[in-house]
Amino acid sequence: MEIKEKTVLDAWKKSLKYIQENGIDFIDRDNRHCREILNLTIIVEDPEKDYEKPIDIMQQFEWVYPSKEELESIMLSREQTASYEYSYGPRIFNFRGVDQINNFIIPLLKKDPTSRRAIITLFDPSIDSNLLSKNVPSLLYIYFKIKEDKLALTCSIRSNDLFIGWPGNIYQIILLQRHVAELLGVKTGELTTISGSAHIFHEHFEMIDKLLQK
Amino acid sequence: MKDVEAEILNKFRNEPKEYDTTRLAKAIFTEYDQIDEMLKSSDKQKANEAKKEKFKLHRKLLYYLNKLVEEHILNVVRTQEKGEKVFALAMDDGNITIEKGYKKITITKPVAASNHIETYEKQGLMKKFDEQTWINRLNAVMIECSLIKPDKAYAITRELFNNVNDVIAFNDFQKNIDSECILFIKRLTQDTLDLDKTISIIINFEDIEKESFKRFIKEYSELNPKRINIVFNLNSRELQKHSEIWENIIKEFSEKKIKINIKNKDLNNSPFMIGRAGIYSFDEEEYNTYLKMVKGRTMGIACSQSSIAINMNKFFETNKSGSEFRQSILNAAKVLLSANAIQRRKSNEYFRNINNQNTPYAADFYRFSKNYIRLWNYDWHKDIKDNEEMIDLLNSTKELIENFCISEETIFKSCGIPIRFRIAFSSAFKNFDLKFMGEREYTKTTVKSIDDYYSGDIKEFIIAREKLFEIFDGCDRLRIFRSHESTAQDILREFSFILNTYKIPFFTYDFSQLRGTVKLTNFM
Repeated sequence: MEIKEKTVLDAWKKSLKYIQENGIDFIDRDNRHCREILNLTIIVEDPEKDYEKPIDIMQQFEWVYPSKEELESIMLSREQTASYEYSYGPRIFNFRGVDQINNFIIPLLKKDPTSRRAIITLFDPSIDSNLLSKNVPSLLYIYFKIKEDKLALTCSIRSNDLFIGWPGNIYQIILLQRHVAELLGVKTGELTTISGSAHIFHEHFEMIDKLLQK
Repeated sequence: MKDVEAEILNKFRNEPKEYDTTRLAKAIFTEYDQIDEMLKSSDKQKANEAKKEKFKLHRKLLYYLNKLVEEHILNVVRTQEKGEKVFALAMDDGNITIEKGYKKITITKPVAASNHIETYEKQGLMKKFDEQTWINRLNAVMIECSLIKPDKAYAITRELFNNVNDVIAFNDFQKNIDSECILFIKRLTQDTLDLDKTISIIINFEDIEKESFKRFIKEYSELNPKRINIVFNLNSRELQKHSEIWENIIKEFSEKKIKINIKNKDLNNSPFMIGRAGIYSFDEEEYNTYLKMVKGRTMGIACSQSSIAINMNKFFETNKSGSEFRQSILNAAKVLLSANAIQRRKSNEYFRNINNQNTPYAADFYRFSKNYIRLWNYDWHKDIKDNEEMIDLLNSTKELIENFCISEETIFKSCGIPIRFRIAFSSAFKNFDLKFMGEREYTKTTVKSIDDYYSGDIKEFIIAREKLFEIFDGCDRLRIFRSHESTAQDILREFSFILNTYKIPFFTYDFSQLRGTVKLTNFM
């Protein structure tokens, strides 16, 4: 299934509605009731627009939602802090000593703006393909492509809580897209997320209903 | 930068607290303690000279302190008795780098966490443990004695004092018992007092060497360190097997009025540690995971990050309801979550030393750590019905907090932030914060002999405490005051009775009310 919208907020709402109406129910390993769609593709045409709004909405609920500052540092800081089992920044900027952005993506796309090789990976089979690992990255790879002088980005998320997780995920990905676009001297273009399992939990249905009514 | 100035700044860098001039002088001038001693000299000339020297050091220190105030690096926060000034960092949260000449010092003042409990704090109902360092220090860490070289133990502990604001526990300390270990304790005795820290020495009885251990117990009792506690981890079989050692411990400790802390390892496998704030321990299942998967990779593990205490009696005195109590605890949990978030982000800065020691498994060091909500004056009534109400309230609150922690972990993980966030409940000790806690209101259990354990009152009391131990997943302590003259064998029988009869994982025998002596009968 593919959902295409102009803004992040519209894409989010439409995806939630789609899962609510068309998803298949199941119970996960933590005994939580989920509703799921497999391989959901969400395309945001102008990711710069409203990209903070889903987070602002999430921060209005009773829970404590991660701060934008923490979300940003997880994505853009190359330093692995000992408090996290993994974090995206070090996997992007210091993956076994490889800075995938500065030492690969930027020189590659500068040299050949038409390249189809501009891909970075965040999943490390030597660590993550382990039955004992409890925390493995959801964000698997990110693909950059210059299209009509704009930097388009496509990413794959293996397991994606569309209500709670996607606002934070999309915020982080847009920050990275901006960062790379700036380094390349181009504007940001379309952003696509492909969620292997796009799901929502039954316990959040009421909140989702309220959100969709707004 | 002059050396004195650099020393002052180092002091604030290591522990960004408030300091009065005397405390700074003691920390900076190595000769200060000696001069202080000389002041007590009966030789008037010597005492006068010492007085002059002390004045000189204070004047020298004040010169630099005032300079740092003029440069807006420090502030005078208040003036104490006899006009002694108290200084603190004059900076907002974050970092400040001070460069003078060729020297450069970076000082970090912890970022303030969002505060959902401000009102309760103002009303004196809630209190963060060691507020000045509550984010950039851990409450409790456990070090494996078998994994550190004995000659490095002191240096490691000194370093850890910069990262820990309450207790450092040494697990399997019996493995390190030799002629040097009492020297190690001797050195730490003064440090713990000066730096306001506690040490727990955990002794396991599986591999104890009788003679050297008895010697150690004797030397420890003579030293009687106020802030260094021994926790004996054993079961009733080991108690019987080592009865000779135990009679010796009972005699030595009761004579010096040293508390005996016993952890029943048949009920809890994980180590317990005694801090200023209260008792700390690990989750049983997680501790077993540590033993299977982590032990050996790191020098130990963190047990607790941050703590908040609530004064229960005071809370309910103001006609607050059970639901308001649950809400207040939920707010405290939110504060702990935001404190943890800052700690996570700044972990490499705050805990560089720990992380370096445990590379490449530094993340494992924090893998089993949690936060504490500690209850003070929860009014343990003789009337069991009142206790039942309290237990119900605590159970429902605990459930609420457990769900909150799980939800938050899910939220953060969904956002690509694989955090661990746990909160344990336990009771608070008076030393959590002397000013905040106020007078203790609780039922004191005094035992004269084993017969008392068969009395209705004490039986009921212990059974009720068993229930509380189930709620206090961060663990608790049953404190028994032992009065009246008796033999070591009598007391040993009492220990055995508790270990065999009750589901009490941790109890302390306090001899402060003991009249007469405990005799070592089997040697008489």
